[in-house]
Amino acid sequence: MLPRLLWKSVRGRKSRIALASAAVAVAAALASALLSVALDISEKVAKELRAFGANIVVVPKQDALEVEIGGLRYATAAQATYLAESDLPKLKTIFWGYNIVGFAPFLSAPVEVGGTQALLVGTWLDREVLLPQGPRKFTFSTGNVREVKSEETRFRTGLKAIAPWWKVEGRWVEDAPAEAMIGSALASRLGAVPGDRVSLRADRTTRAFRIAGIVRTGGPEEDQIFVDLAAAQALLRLPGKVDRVQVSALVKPDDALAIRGKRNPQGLPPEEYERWYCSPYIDAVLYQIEEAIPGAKAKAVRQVAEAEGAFLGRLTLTMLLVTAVAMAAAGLGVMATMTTTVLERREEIGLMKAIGAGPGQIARQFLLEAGLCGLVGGAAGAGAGLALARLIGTRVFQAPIVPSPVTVPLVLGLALLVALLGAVLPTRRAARLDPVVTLRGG
Amino acid sequence: MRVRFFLRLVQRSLTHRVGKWLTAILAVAMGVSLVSTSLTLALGMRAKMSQALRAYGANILLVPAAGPAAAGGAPAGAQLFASMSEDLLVRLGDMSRDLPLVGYAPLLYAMAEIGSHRVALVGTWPDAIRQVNPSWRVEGGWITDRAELAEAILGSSLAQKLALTVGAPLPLTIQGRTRTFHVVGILSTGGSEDEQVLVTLRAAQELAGRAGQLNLIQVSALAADRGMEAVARALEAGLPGVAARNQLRLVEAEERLLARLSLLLGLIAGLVLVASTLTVAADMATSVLERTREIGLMKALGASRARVGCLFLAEAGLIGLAGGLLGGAAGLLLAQIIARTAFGGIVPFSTLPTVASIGVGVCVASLAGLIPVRRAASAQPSLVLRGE
Repeated sequence: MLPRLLWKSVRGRKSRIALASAAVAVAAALASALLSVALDISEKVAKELRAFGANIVVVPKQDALEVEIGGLRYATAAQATYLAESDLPKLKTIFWGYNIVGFAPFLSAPVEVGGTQALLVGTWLDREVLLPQGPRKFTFSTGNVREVKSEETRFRTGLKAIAPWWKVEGRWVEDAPAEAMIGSALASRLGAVPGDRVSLRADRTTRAFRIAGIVRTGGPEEDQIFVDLAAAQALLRLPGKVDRVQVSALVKPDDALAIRGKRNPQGLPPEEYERWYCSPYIDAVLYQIEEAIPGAKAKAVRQVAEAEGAFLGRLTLTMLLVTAVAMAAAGLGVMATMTTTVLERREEIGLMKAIGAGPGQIARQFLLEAGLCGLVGGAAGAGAGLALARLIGTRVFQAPIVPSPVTVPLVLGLALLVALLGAVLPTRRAARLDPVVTLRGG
Repeated sequence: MRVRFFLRLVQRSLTHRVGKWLTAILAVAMGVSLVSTSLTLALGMRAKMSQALRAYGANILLVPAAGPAAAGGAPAGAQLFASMSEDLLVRLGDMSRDLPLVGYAPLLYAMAEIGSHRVALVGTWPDAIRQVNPSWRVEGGWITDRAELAEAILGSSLAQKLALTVGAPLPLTIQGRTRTFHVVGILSTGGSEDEQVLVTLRAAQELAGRAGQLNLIQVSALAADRGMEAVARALEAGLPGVAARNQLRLVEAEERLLARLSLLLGLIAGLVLVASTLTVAADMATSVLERTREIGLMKALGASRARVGCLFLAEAGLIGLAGGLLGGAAGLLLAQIIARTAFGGIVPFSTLPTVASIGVGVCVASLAGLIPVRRAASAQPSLVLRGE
């Protein structure tokens, strides 16, 4: 009986059911699109924020004082300690290796060029690194062993990857051993243009380089000379050494656990330590880098790390609030539509009562109808919303938004709930009314 | 007479169906408030986000036009960079009223000795440098004011290597002149400041014997309305002998990010606009469908199609106007609450969201109300009255 009634009602009132379902679908599409964007935006924008420069600097552990002013370092060679270039691929083998999106090593020292002194910086401009293979196992004192698989075998990184804002007049260094790029301020002092040759002298070694390009950054780089790392190592007679590595890592804004782990991670209880170690907090990444590279000290570039955390937090909050407002408004809209749909059928309810239907029967039929609208509309809307989110992602971030597994069930559940809620109140009221009154249309 | 009759009809409908009118108005207001919220945010958030991004620090450096003279391995106390005159700060102060500056801080560098160690000494305005670099982390206190001559902030690595803590005395020597500061705070930035000693500009000038001189001015400027290049050029034009260097690292990343986020908010506002239009239309259509019988009755009593249409249009228009006004106001309020919660501060009021809200309310409600009226009005009254 009930299925037939339902079927008849749906067939007989196609346009109205379709209208109610469409209202639910539009609301659900809005909710699922906004929710998908809100839940994924942090990760998308974090990638964008990496353009603000490296957030981690790795330097050798040393006790000697460093004197650095405006990018120039004044440390005597006897005091200096170095990191080994061969250790660098290990950066990608830490637990959060996947989140290391780029790094570049540096080796710098003052050299003589054209009668003045300038800082020579050797670095990787654009380098492909072979990564150690095989899954990596991490054992914790709780007894858990976590395995991290790495799909990448090669990793392309270097200055171009971590400093995309550099403006180079001319071109980047291509012929590594014989070419250099020169800062714009230094170039104008030397009167040098791309194509010129400069000779650099460090201690007793002199080498000639051809200027491939002139670098403009607005920072201290404009007073420096850039060559390939190997060329700098040869000139400075420091084979295989680097004195600083800039690392760009995707990290998660600090929360309560991150703050507790900051001071003394080993002081945390074992479960918390494991959770801390396996979360991409900046301090956890620093800790893992120091574990992986012997003799290294990893420092967060506070300015970048904190500004990033704060900005991401604010943006996510904004998106979540907008989503909440939209979901509330859409939900109330659906409820209003359902209420109107039921109210309009008060006479029908009166008639059903007059021919002997109980309140339970009436409620069942109307709620089933509402539920049907909620399910059909919710499913269609949630699907459409995911497609919309994908579209937004590719339009704005050139990468599709990855839908969270909670989005579809949540939206579907909410659509069903809201549709039912909207139907329940008027049905109950109508079912309580005297059939005579409703049939008269009062 | 006809007008009065018409008005009475509308008024009757209003008083007899208060509940339904209210439901319809609320439904319109709901959709419209969402439009107004998202539009207000899309238009106003750019400035807010730009301000939040200023946590990354100075995005323009003012240096002497000749450029810093590279002086690797210069003897202690020697002039490291070309200097500029302190008088520039007065002129910059005057200019800052017309430029979107968040803050600016002068810096003077000198090489100093602590016992047998050489360290970099930085003199600056303590309050201004914090304003330009809000994400610096400090343990202990900060230098009280610009006139202070005995307080110093120590970089964290330097403090660790010298084994000094807050409260310790710090004798600094430049070219035989010694002055003892005391450490009031430890600064950690992850940058070169970790290895430096920070004192007030005046203390550094006196100790280094370089009264009235500066090496660098850090400027933090908002890129919201005009490009950073324009701000830099304006600074150069107003300050003779000074080169304004845009920190491309920050400027480019910021402009790109803001463009993307504006696009995102704009797309969301568009999406919300479409969804709300559909929802409002569906609501209005449902509530008019419900009155098909009423329309049939009116026609049976001799009302013309135009007259029925006018009546329903007037009703729908009124509902749309009321809902639009209500929703527009609610949306503005919601946008302010969101902006205040997430970014602290209000978003500016602009006319577009208000106009759009009322427009969506009136147009959509009227159009959606008319379609079923047309259908009902063209039908046979007898059929409609029988409920078919």
